[in-house]
Amino acid sequence: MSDDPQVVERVIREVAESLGVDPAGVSPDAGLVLDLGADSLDLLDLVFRLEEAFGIQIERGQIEARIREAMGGDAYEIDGVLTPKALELLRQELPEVRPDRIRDGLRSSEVVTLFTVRTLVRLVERHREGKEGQSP
Amino acid sequence: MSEPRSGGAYDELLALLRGRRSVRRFLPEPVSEEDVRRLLEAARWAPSPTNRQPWRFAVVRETERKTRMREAVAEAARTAAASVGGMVEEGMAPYAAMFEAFEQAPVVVAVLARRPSRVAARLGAGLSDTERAALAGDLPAVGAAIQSLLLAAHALGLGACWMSGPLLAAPDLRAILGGPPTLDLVALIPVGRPAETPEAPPRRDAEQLLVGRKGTGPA
Repeated sequence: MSDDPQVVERVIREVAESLGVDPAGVSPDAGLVLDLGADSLDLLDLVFRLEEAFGIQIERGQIEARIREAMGGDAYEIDGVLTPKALELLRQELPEVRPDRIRDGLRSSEVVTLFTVRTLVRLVERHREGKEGQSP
Repeated sequence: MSEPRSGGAYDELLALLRGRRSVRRFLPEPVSEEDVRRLLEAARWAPSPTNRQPWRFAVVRETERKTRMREAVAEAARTAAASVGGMVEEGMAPYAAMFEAFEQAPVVVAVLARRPSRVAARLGAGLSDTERAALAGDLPAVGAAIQSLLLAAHALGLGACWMSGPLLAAPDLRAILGGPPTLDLVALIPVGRPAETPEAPPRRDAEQLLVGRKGTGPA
């Protein structure tokens, strides 16, 4: 699936403005937390910005919900640490994230730190597709 | 460890606070890289809500760039004054000259800020513009960083001045300064060895600053 260049450009602009960095230095593959230094409030701010920019409503925990559904009853986490099967499904769910970052011992609370600019692009595109599908 | 309420560190701090002046005339001596580093070291330890550390800095030393900045400010001040006309235009003239004083400093530190969180703006319905800016927290935090930088300059025997007037030319200045276009300019701070020691301008008494209902605090 190729990303809509206009969506990519707008997401990069929102990320750059939110984090106070140069848009030219924001690659679609940059990790929001690990590469660009975003903190949890920045991520919240980004969600608000994307909602405004694209006229969408983003709910929390969709990625985790999809993985849990695909687990077929197997454990998603044990004591907060993702199981090997959950890690494998997470790699499939977040193909834009460098595989070495989805490592053994990853905690469920750390999943959000893996998000890249492209994760946001895909999030927006998924919402837009869903919204278009509901249009009369 | 608790600090004493008076004496020692408090007295030293108060002496720095009271002794700091807004210096706009400078000796032509250079300011070392080490001193600039010390200023930024002090600034980065300022407090900021949710530790956003929204401040950024651009250091300008080159005469050519300072001149371009001064020309941009002069032009913007002329345009702004002409746009209001009459008494205000006349009254602005002496201020406009002050706005250009940074050009003579060996170093100009431009203070920039990240743009405020949209979340705060969304939550701030019913607030005044000032309250919304305070809720976002970035602008007050940058002010704290400026204060730290100014006090550090004073402690190092340097003169400095918090200048907001040049912001009349903010778009041009940001272009000259470079850096991410997603940062906003908040102040220019010329820094150098002082060629003047201005008198302390009057300060209101603490009593005059208290507002609202009388509290039940210590007499």
